[in-house]
Amino acid sequence: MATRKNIAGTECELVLDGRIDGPAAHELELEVLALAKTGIQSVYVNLSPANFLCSAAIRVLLQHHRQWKAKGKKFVVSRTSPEVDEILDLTGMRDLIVEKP
Amino acid sequence: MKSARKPLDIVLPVTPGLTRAAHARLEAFAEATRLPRKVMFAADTALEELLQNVVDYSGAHEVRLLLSVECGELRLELADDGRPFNPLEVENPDLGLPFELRPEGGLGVFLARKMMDRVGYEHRDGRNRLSLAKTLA
Repeated sequence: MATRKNIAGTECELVLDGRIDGPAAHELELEVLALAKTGIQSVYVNLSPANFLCSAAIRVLLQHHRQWKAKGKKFVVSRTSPEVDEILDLTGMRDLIVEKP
Repeated sequence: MKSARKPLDIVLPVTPGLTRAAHARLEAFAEATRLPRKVMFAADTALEELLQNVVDYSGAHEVRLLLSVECGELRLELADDGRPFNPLEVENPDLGLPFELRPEGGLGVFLARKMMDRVGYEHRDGRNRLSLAKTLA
């Protein structure tokens, strides 16, 4: 997995590219925890370049979606790929963590 | 090509890098056997989820991975020497629960089972043995 951050003011687009497997889910967790310590108020996770998403990564996304929301901040999935769509649909997670356009 | 259908039979050590090692072997096998992309994706997901469980919870030292294409389907067999664990006894998550009540975990085995057409389990000779299949059509 490769990550890229596009920051504008208090908003951050977190672009995740490639394979998001178990070890990558751990890297994602660390990235998000580091972002939480900054003044960022909204995180938009762009999964359009991701070709694989494991359940550990879904757990990280859901957990931070809830935690940021509880603090009055925003943490959502903004874009997806067909592979990510398939996994999010199968697990019923799309409506929970993907922002509707 | 007959040689391209040769099964893959390997033993991998259980380390944090297990899922990536298995993925690399599966990818090479898929290329050699020209597995349809959809079948590869399903097997990849199932392997990732089941092997990550082995790494995290089983206490196993090694996993034997057998991949073959037979009778129009991809077959995977996993055998580990860890604590007995039957993933078929894990209850499926309730996808109808409201947001607040949805658990954050418990999706791995569910995903593996959803992705494959058949999943079987037995504990024999001190090993957890999983057999999975996905039709090529």
